[in-house]
Formats: sequence, C-alpha cells, structure tokens
Amino acid sequence: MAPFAQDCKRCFKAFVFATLTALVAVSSSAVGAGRGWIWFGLLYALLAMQPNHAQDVIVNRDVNIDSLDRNTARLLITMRMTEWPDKRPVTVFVLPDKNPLHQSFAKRILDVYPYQLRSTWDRQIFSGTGQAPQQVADEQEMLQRVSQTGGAIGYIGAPPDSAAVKVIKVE
Amino acid sequence: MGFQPRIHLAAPLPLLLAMLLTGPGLAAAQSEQRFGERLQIHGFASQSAIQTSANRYYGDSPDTSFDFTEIGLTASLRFSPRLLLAAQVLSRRAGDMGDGSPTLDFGLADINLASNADYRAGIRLGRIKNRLGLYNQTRDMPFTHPGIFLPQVVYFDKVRNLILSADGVLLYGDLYRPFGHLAATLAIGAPIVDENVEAAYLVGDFNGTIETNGNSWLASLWFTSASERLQLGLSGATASLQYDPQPDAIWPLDPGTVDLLYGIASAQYNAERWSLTAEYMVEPIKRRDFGPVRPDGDLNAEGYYAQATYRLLPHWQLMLRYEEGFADRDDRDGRTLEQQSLGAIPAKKASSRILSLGLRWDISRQWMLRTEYQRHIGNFILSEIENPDFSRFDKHWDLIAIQAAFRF
Repeated sequence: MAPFAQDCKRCFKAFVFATLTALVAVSSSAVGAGRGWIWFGLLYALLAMQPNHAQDVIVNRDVNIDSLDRNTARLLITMRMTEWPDKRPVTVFVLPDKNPLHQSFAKRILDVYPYQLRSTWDRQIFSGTGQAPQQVADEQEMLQRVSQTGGAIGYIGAPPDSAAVKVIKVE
Repeated sequence: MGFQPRIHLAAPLPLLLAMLLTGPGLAAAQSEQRFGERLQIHGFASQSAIQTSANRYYGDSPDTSFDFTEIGLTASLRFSPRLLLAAQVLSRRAGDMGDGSPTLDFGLADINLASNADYRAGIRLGRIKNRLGLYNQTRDMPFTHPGIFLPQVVYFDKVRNLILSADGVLLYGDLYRPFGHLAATLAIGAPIVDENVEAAYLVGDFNGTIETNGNSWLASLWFTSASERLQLGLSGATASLQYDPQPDAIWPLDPGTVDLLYGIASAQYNAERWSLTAEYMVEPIKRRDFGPVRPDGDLNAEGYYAQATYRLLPHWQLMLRYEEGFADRDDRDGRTLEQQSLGAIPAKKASSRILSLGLRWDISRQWMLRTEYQRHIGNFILSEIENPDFSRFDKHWDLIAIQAAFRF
C-alpha cells in the first residue's frame, strides 16, 4: 500500500503548508501588510484541501511486478506489449474515452492525450496489427474484472479497500 | 482485382501456426483470458453526399452524388501473446472507381518473435495493409482521418489499389527508448492492381490488361517521441507493371512496362487541442515501350500538403488543409505534356492545387458527422475513368460534401 501512504503524506504536507500560509497571511494582515494575503491564503488552503484526483495502476494479484516506468505503462495500455516479463498474457481494461478518470489517467500517468490512445487502438484494429483494450463501465467493474482476470491491468481513482488487486507504482 | 490467394508465400503459414498453437504459452493464455476477450469484432459504415460545381468526382457529383459508401467488418483473434490473426472485409462504392463488391482488405497472421519493454520484432504473413504515410493503413476507416477525403495529391484514390496492400511477408521491428520509439518494417509482396491503375499510368482507359510484373518491395521507418507528440516517418514502395494489349483494340498500345517508386516523408505534431501534419510524396515513374501514342518517358510525380486540425470543443474538430500535386515536377504547368500529346491531354490535367476546410462532430462513440468544402485549381487528382473526355475538364471547381459514419 505504498502509494496510499504516499498520497496521505502528500495530503498532509499540503495541509500543513496551507495552514502555515493562512497563518502567515492572517498575522501579516494583522500588522497591516495587506488584506489580499488573507484571500490568497484562504484560497490556497481550499485548493490544497481539494480531494487529490489521484490514480493508481492496478494489476491482478498474479502479476509479478511492483512498479512500472511510464514508457512501459504506455506500451501495456496501448497493447503493444502483450505479455508480462514472465511470458503470461496481458489483458488491459480501460474506462470509456469520455470518463474524467480515463482522461486524467491518460494525461497524468501516461503523458498522452486520450485522443492519441484512441487513434493508436484504432490504427491497430483496422490494420490488423493489434487489438484494443476491454472497456468497462465504471470503477467498480474495473476493480472486479482486474481482480478476476489473470494478467490483467487497469486503473482506479482511489486505492481500493480490499486486497483483491495489487496497486503498483508508475515512476 | 479482388482476392487472389498467393500460395507460394502462404505455404509456411500452417506450419508456423501449428508450432505456435501447441506452444507452452497457449494453455495458460486460454485458462486466464475469456474467449470474448481474445476475439474482437469491429466494424464501420459511412455514407457521403458530394456536390461539385463541375467534373465528376465519386460519381455524378455535378448532380449531387451519393455514390460514396464504405462498409467494413474486422475480426481479430489473439491466440496467444505471440500470435494474432486478423482480417477485414471491405465494401467500397466510390463512383466509377469502386462498385462496392466486398474484398478482403487484409487477412494476416502476426507472429511475434520477441516482445518486451525494450523492443518488439515479428513477422506478418498474408494480405498486409502497407504502412505508407500516416493514413494508408486505415485509409478506408472514416474515423481515423480528419477529412472526408484524404489529401489526394499524396493518397490518390484513383490508384489506391496499387499502394493499398500486398500479398506477402512483412518483417517488423520496434525499438523502445526513453526518448521515443523507432519502428521499422520491410515487406515483399504482390500488389493488387485494377483498371484504375491502368487508366492513371497510361493516362486513359485503353483496351487490354495491366498486371504486376514481379513483387513489390516496401519499407518504412518511423520515429515517435516518448509522449507521442511528434511523429516522423519515411515510407516507400516499388512497383513494376506490365501492359498486355488486346489484339483487336482500335488504338492499341504496344506491350510496355511502367516501373515506379513511391515515397512519402511524413511529420505530425500533436498537442492537446491541435495537430499539425505535413507530408511530401515523390513518385519517379519510368514508362517504356508503349509505342508512339505514349512515348517513353521518365516523370517525377510530386505532391505535398500541410494540414491543421483544431479540437475546439471535446467533440468538435476543425480542419484546414492546403495541398499541391503535379504529374511531373519538371512540367508543373503541363505545357510539355499538352504539346507531347498534341493537345489530347490538356495542361490543366498536370496539376492540382486544393484548399480544404472541414468540420467534424463526434456525436457519440458510435456516430460521427462531418462536412467539407474544397476549392480546386487543376484536374490532376481526378479519375480518368470518371472523366474520360479530357476536353470537358473544368480547371476551377468547388466541392462540398457531407458524411455520416458509424462504428462499433
């Protein structure tokens, strides 16, 4: 559960930083340094408290890796890498193109735009050089399918409560 | 034209299939992946309406043509991580250039010999779509390119079959590095030619048949930056054609040959809201031994375009494109051609300059609607079969088209 711990640490840091900023703002306004700082501090605190739209890459428990680099994650999701290092087949699950989680996963974790993923999958399907991932309706189905399918990879918005899947780090 | 299986190249296929099917990977693959996850079926259909101010383009366009319909059905089966079987049947009605009879667009076995996070290499056997330029591989699938029509000065629809696909063998190798991917292919196979090819290279629909003379070679090299923002590619093909005249033809040509090279340099930059694309095509053509009607000649056909697409809203896309193409880059105004043919081939037939403006609306995952306006100067890209009487060419013409497309 390393990413979960990391997320918490990040949240905590942001909270501390925001509180400090707010305190500095309030105290500086008290000495007449300017009212603008109060608003700035409050806004910052608010932003920092916003739920962090974090994504986690999840894999079936039988997948024998703990971390992935970004390029490898991209090769897996675009289905150009069809087997794990131990030669077992990869099955990829994705959310629909317009799902906000899919969009932020593509941009933040894979560093590609969602339309580029679609165009890569389309080129593979309609030239006979590859396939497209399995689409799931929502995060609940994602969790279920990844946990039930050997060699599966997918992603979710928040770390799962259960140990049905393995969460892996993308570096 | 159509599907002609070429046994000599496909002979080792059953053996390889057997080897892969009985391999140790399959048992594991089958127990873990459901059949439905390994078999994928996809398809598409599109219908267009085309209106031109003059000249026939995809049917009787001056009187509004509905004669442009594409229907495709694709199936792929991943037997194992190392073996993919895939085929697509395509029906394409395109004015006088295509009658809609179903053809096997591709049918291949992709055998992966090595695959990991650093590289991938393998072989494809069967009927293979050629990776020429950015769009040839999926040129008939409407969702994969921004406009209704591909830039004609590079992707001639009038001779699409010559470069579309080949029955043969392809070797591929991909190299994955932190800065990006390098992908190379090398293929040999028999291209599929038809009467459109003959009419284009002999400049007119003569009696007789044209056949490929030996196999074509195809090669491509692509670089894609790590986050796929930048894509650069070089791709090319060779083809050799042999003309066999009909003995009772009124105006026969001698049994001549056409040898050609077809090369494209491609560049594309993809940002979140916009994409910029440019491609340059050059095609050296050697025409020999057709007799006095079509004298021996060495030509260099040339075409290039620049295209910008802008995703102004999540489901709306604008396209702007300018393209120029020439039958012979040493005779851009076509005067030499007109003189040599004693006026039979007008100078305006030698070039095309086209400005296109398009708007695309992706209504849902399944449906798409788009429209396109084109302003043309010249008649180079027009089909000789659709416009047999060159004296009736209108040099300045416009086109407006709409298209509805469906996919699943």
